[in-house]
Amino acid sequence: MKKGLSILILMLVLALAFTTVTAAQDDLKEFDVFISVSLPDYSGSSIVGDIIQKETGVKLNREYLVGDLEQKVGLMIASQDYPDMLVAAHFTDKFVEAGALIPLEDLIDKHAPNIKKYYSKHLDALRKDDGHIYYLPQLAIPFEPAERRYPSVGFFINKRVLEANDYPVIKSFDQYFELIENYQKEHPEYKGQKTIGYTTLFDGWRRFATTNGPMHLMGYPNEGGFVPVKEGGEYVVRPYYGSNVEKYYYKKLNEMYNKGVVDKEAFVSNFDQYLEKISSGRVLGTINQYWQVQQAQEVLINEDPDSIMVPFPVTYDPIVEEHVRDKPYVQTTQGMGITTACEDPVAAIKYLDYLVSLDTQRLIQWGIEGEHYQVDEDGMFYRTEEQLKMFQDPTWVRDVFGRHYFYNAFPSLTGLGPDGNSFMPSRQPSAIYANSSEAEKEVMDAYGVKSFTGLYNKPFEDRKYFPLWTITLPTNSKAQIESTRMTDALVQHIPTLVMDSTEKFETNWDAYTKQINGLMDAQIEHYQKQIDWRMENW
Amino acid sequence: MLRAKKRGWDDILLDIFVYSFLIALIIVTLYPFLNTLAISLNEGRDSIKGGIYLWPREFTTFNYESLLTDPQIFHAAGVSIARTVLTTVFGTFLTAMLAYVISRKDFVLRKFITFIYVLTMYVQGGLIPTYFLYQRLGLTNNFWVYVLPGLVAAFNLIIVRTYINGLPESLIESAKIDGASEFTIFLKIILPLSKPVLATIAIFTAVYHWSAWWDVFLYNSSNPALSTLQYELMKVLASANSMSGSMQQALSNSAQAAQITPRAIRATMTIIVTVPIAVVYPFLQRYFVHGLTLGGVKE
Amino acid sequence: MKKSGDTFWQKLWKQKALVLMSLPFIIYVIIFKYVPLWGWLMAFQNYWPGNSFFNQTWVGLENFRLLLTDPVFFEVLRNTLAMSLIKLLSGMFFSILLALVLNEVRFAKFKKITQTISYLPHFISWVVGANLVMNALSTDGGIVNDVLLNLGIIDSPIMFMGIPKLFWWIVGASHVWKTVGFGAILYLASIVSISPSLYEAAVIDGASRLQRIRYITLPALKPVIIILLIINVGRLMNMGFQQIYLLSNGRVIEYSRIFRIFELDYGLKMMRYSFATTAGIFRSLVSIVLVFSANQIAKMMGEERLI
Repeated sequence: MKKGLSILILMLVLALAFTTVTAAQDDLKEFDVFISVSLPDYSGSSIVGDIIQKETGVKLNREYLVGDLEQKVGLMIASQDYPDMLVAAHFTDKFVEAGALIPLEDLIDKHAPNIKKYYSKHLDALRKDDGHIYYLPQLAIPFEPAERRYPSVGFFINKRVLEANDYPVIKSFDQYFELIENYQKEHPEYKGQKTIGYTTLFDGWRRFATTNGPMHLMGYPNEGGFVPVKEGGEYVVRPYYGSNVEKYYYKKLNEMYNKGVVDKEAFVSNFDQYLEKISSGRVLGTINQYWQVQQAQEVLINEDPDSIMVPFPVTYDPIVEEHVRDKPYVQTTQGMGITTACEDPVAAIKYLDYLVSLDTQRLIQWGIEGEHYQVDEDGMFYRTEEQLKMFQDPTWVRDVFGRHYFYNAFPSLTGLGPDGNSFMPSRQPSAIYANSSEAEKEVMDAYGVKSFTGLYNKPFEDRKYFPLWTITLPTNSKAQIESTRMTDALVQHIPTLVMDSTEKFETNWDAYTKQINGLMDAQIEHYQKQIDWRMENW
Repeated sequence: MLRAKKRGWDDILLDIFVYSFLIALIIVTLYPFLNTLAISLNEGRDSIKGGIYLWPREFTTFNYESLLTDPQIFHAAGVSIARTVLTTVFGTFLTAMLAYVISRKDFVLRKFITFIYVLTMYVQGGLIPTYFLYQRLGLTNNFWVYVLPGLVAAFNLIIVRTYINGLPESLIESAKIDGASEFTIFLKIILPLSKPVLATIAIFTAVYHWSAWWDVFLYNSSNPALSTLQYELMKVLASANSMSGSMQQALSNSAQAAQITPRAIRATMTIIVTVPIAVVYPFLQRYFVHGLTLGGVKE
Repeated sequence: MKKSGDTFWQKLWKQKALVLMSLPFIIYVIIFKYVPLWGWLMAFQNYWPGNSFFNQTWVGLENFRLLLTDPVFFEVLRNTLAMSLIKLLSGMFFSILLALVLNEVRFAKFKKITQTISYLPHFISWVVGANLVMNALSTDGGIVNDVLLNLGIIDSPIMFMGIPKLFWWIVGASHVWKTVGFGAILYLASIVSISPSLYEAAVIDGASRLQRIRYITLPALKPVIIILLIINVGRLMNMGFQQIYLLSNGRVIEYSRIFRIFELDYGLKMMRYSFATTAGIFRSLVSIVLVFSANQIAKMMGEERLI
């Protein structure tokens, strides 16, 4: 009993010890930052971080997101307990609404020459209705945009199908399914497992992979739930849900489902199962944004390079001129802001300004010359085999090199620099093809392109509002509730549209359109207003 | 222990049922755990392919290293142990005390107290008002927010009360005649006799506090010194989620998939969190597996 | 109360020791559990955290109207109550069964090990658990279909996760899997406290093991069973949503949409705090009605009761 008691007292003492906070001893300037991305705590030292800390004399106390963002945001706003700087993804505007962020334009003007210079193209788009700028998005594009190896979205098809058909150019949805169907007939099995003709992702919020299909078949890039159609020089917001193209899309999937081409389980599977199937190499086709299939693609590149997935901008009719590739854009509705709690906003903006200087961006993204990259006689950056290998280990890049702690969610630059070097090493023009895997090169060679985006047309040239999905619906508005109801309707009806027998398709389609028709008016109205505003002010 | 002198057919049938039931149960409960163990010991990127059952395909301890090498983790584990031990010990003791009070049938406030506690199981003030309260009480950014709010839980209280109700009243009566005070009766008679049920609620409390990360997130997230083990693990999981298969990853555009995959991290976390509890459990188990030394009180 | 003829205050004075022991607990529960209830007033506002509490628009019963007239309101209510009831009854039944069965095991080691193993799933989060369930039930190499096919019970795999009516039972079964061992702990604690002399007497009377379970063990468990039933009947509306959220899919949505998910989607996720509060109050009211009805029934039947 005595012993138990003393242990208890010890525990109490320990517990009390935890309540006292150890104060920092160094005389660095400190800022508390809340960042709505998830990372492990910063160790306090890294290759990039040590240089930045030495040059700025600033130490950041970062809080990264662990639980639900909307709860964190609600508590922060209600309690008015703000850090010095914050970024809260698509909820950043809520802080503006609550008056938690200070206007930045004067600060930028006086103290931030780099921000002023490199964000100049975007400053109009960052202004709120009241004319103020409250936050700086990451990835500004100060000069020209850079190419990518993969386009952001596409109808993917297995390399084996392409090879068997001598690398055809795939334009229409019918052609796409014809190739898949025929190949599946000839090869019903792959490595002892059933071949899956086509699968689609419908798990939770990731289901947009499936529901965005009609938009892309119409030749549009990802706009979100609606597409602004150019009519007489104006952009008119139109629904694609309930449209003829959508009907065609699900009718085709329904037909293919009943023929056994579409994965029987697609609509009752989760993301893990989806990745599992694709990385097994037996899936012939799927539609998605690349980042959702990337993990599986990397498994295939390493272990089954013959079955890698190749994206195509497939449309519902070959005469449709597709612009499925994204026009490079800046996410203007979220970014890092300085709060009213910050005692020294000038030092804060100076710090952010330091981060977006060309030198710092080179340091964060490329590293130290000679150590992490080389410069050739034309002044172009490249990495040697060894350097490449270092940067292929994401944990090293994060923890030892330290890029993520000054890059993710912080103001930063992307695209090509003034000297033609890409800010992002993986998008260095010379590297895209050169650093591709053998299998990727094989496909690119067959089509005579240097990246998979080469399989796509150029993006829309105009459309300065782009994209529609960065417009947020106001809290408690009719549009916001409509949009949630719409999601519910999609979740409920789309699996049935595809999985029911073909005879029942028309009935199911009618039930579906009947339910969604009343759920779009307020949304369209809000988007239209915002698009018009953007066209006028950006 | 007890054994009927001769085994009848019903006895044998019962045994067949008992053992087949338990063996079936072992299979369905052990398999998922072993599967989780295998995934935690398998290379994360390889696990994406699926098809791992009882044995890792590409063995690695990387998942454990990525979770446990952070020096912060030991401090956090210390906080976890402190909160778990403190709440379990004090919570169980205080719950037992109040349970004794409201088990006293003649106590005038019995119904009132029972009522206000029972009601708390069904009404909640919500996130923001609760936060305001803790802020006013100085409990935000404070270790004690882990301990104080959950000290006496209504559910545990009722369970212990029900148990004490089952104890013979004559014990209390005779103690009273001997002149024992209420507190002495509780301490010397009720507490020792309630060991099995107290062990039960101690387990409930300990398990809850050991795996809590929620309150860290809501009230103490800006102070790393107050982080708990589970919260540190949640951090790694959240970052694994955002490093692989997310827009963030696409933006950073790393050339290779992250070695740390959410699935592997989740599996590893499960093992790390479960093992200490599974180790402690057998020590409490003796209170309700072996018969009670003080047996023979319930009539 | 009037038995001894004392007034309430006289009795209170006499029981001052007990009062003293309970007073801190009364203050404690009021501060921690009842003070935050002022937040319920939000249900009558259009609360936006950016403004102070008194600087909000008051909307009267509008939020309640919105909640009660929602087109899916009755569907989510039905699903919630049905699934909760399935989970409650099956969970209790199997936990009690496990406790009884463990009590019949003669080898102490085996008993201990089985018990420890049986409660392991409690620590497996639903994210991991849902994956295991979905893989087991898959038509694409899932173990359940494989076994049924090999036994010749079916000739083509069944897509279990896509059958709306089956969803409730999948939820029930996976709930049992996850909670049976942990739930049994409570009953085991009660079984242990049964006096061995009772069993000894029964053996002398020639009672079989089944009879001993029937006439000694089960009656001893009755109070705790009834108390747990009452408590959990009150919790029917508060069923956790993670399991259902993770197992659900569009094909079965009409049977899987439950109140907590509805509340979350149309409340907190959209930062509609007032609507979330309204939904919470509604749940509380239903809970209180349920729990006191159950308590009353127990009282009428002369059983152990909650209050």
